[in-house]
Amino acid sequence: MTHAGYIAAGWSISAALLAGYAVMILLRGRRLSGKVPARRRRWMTAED
Amino acid sequence: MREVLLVAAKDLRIELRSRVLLYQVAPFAVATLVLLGFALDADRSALRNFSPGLFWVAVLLTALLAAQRSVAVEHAGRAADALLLSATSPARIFAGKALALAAQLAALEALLGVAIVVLYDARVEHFGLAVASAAAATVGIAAAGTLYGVLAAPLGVRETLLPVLLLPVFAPVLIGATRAFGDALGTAAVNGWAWFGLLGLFALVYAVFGALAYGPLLEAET
Amino acid sequence: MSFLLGRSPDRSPPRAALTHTGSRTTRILGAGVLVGVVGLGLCAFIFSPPDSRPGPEAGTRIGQFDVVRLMYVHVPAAIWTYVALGTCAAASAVYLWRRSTWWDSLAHACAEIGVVLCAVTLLTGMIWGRPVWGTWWEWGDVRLVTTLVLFLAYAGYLALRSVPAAPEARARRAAILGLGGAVLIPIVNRSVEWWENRTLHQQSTLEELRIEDLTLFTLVLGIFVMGLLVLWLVVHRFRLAWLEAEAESAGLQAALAERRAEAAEPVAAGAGEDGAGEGSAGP
Repeated sequence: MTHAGYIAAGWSISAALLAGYAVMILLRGRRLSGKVPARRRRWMTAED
Repeated sequence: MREVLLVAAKDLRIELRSRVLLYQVAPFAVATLVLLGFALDADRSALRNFSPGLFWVAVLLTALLAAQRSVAVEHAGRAADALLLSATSPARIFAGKALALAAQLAALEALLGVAIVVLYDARVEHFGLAVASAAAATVGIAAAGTLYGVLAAPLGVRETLLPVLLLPVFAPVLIGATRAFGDALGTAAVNGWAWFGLLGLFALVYAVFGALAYGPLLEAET
Repeated sequence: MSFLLGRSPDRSPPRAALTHTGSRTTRILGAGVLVGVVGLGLCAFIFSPPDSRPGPEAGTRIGQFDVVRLMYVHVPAAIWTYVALGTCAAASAVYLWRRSTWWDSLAHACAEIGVVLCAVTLLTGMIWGRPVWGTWWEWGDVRLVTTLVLFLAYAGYLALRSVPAAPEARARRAAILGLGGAVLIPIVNRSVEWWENRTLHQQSTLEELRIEDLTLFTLVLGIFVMGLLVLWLVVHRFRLAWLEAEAESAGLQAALAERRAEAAEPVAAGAGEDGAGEGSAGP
């Protein structure tokens, strides 16, 4: 494979940025959820 | 129209009395040009070649200060409330303030224009093009500066926030005005009048957008 | 569009007080993204061929070779950047018209995701440009410069949003700014195009590459998978914005109640600190 370093760098930077951002959103959501009463969180009605 | 002029005259009168423009903003503008001269190693031909771009960088940095000043006078003593109570429509307040800012910028540009001729050895080949494109750019800068200025004004971090918001907006002005001046000062072989058209378009778009957006923004402040 | 907030609570009461922003919809979506990413990885690295075609001289091959594999991230990220920021501008416009928190939150969510995607676009573009164009940055390229200005403009938008202020006033300012970005971009694009009247960018990436069927398929798959990811992110970020708004108003209510209780007390000991920001302009 030519330019393996560039390809690895490009894919891993993208993956790290997007995954890091997704995890950050989830964690912030978890932290804030506790402060808001359940009836104001409509998506919580999902069955599981 | 009379109300627009009244608002503009009010801002200019404040400026004349406080002398902030004369004693603080103008020296800043000239100091910027001097520093840029140092940055380019005072190379005479390089300075002349880059004089259009350096001139407009200095103008834009100065415009940041002037725009901040323009909203600061409104916020001192909540003068904006009085302006709103006067039942002048927000679009006219916007036009008046932008006009005052444009007048101040024009004065600063005249000063900087003399400075690049003296310091950078710039030569004006097409005076009409230079004046016309400077006028169009100034209206655009003033309109964008007035709009974004009031956007950042009520926040405690105005001084740092306004440049972040305004500088990307100034990008097309810098490109356009630099090219138009490149033609006017004979440093670039381009069609300066086409760039004048782009600057005019920018000015028109931001004047209209600002006039429309100013109402909701003034409301948001109260 | 009600899937962003899930079903209305009156129809089925919450079974347990969950403490996250997920729901069944997002879990299915998330699983889809994970499967899609695996599929995209297989297509991008194993099934799809490198870009190469016979050169002008006999026996030589030209093309992007394996660097083309970066395109499967770059192009989808670029497309979805423009979609996300366009949605932000549109939601800002609707907010100014309808004045509802829903549209404000949507604009906020889209702007943040758009800025992240824009960063991915710029970074992968630079990493791709180094071996192909021989430079990290090319000022002569219109889309490159325009995208950078777009990134800066919407980073400013996020900066404005991060400043504490009264929710209503902040939403209005942000909406004007979000809309301003959309006004700005065509002008920047035009000016950069004239500025350097040449562009290195393939007018369309699809034309320059001699598209093998699998290359095209992988590109489309990348756009699809990235779309799923963006949708997942938007739903979660929207719910987070919703939570932030709720927590903010709950905090304000609590502060007001506290202040009232304070005022009811007969002791006038000390003036007490005044509200920190303009948001807490209480009586």
